[in-house]
Amino acid sequence: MENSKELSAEWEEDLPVLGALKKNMPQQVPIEYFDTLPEIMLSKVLAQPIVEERKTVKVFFMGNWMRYATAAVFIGVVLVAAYFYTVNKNTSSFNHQYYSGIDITKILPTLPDNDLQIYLNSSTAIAGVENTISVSEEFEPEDINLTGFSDEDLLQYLSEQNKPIVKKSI
Amino acid sequence: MFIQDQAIVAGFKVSSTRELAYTSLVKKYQEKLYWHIRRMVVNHEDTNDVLQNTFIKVWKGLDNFREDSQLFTWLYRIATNECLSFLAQQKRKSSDSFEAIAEVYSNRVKSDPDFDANRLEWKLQLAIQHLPEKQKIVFNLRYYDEMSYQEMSKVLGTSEGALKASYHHAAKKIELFILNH
Repeated sequence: MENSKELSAEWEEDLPVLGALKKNMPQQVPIEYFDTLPEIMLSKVLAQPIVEERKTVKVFFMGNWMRYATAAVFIGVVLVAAYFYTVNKNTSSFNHQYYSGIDITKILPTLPDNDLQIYLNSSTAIAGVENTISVSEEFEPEDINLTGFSDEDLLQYLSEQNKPIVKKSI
Repeated sequence: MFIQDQAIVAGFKVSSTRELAYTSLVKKYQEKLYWHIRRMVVNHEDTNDVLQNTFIKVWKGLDNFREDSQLFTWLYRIATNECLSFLAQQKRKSSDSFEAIAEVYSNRVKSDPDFDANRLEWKLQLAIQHLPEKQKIVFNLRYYDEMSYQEMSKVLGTSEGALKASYHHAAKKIELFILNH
């Protein structure tokens, strides 16, 4: 606490109204309040539940770099395990031997035309554009203006694409 | 005659003298902290609640008190934080503007059975209620508790320069209020 005389001088100079005031608080405190408070407080704090701090026990010392290295190794192991699991799952669930032995020419006539049409309409991405009926049906080669292309370009394009339907139109 | 602060802190850390040290601490600082709180929250009931919370926190925290700071600045810091938490709760309940809240606290001052509008001491109490919270605390600590700016900066965690500016600003406002009312 600061020297009262110094403070009084400060107020008298700068703040004359405050300097002239007595510092007593005008409010009242209930009788015997300060006589009883210490006892009340003691009984209150003793009635408080004792909360013991949880101690963290270090199993072994580990520096920061060690933690990061352990985490990196763990993540690596998980990723490699996940990769091998996925690959094995895909290969084991697909029976190559069975499907390669199927003769499509025998099975196709047994399937309803409607089912085949639905399959071809909905599976362009899997079957490829060249195998999609809707594309070959709607394809009109005469709509394409070929005047800007040389014969070599066209032959190269056709040999790359290997599309029998286009070859027929040319 | 009160026990020295070092003896209180040392006594608290020994289980056989813990309660005695705590009671000594309450006896020594109860009045100073009571008035510090009451200047902020105005009525006795609220002051009593805030003061009791303060002393409960002291009981819980005195074991960890580092003696590189003074006991009374640590106690004032706890009491000030408790006051500010209490006032923040009150504000949340009312959600009024600063002027409206100042008016609420001025009315609390006026509702005291001993209130006398002609007495300068009461005018000062009204003037204090028209200060923003931080200025109110700074003014009270300097004017009533006669705390140095260095000690105040430990209590409030603010630089001494900022506290000086805050105090002079507050004191000028109070002078003006008293002269105009």
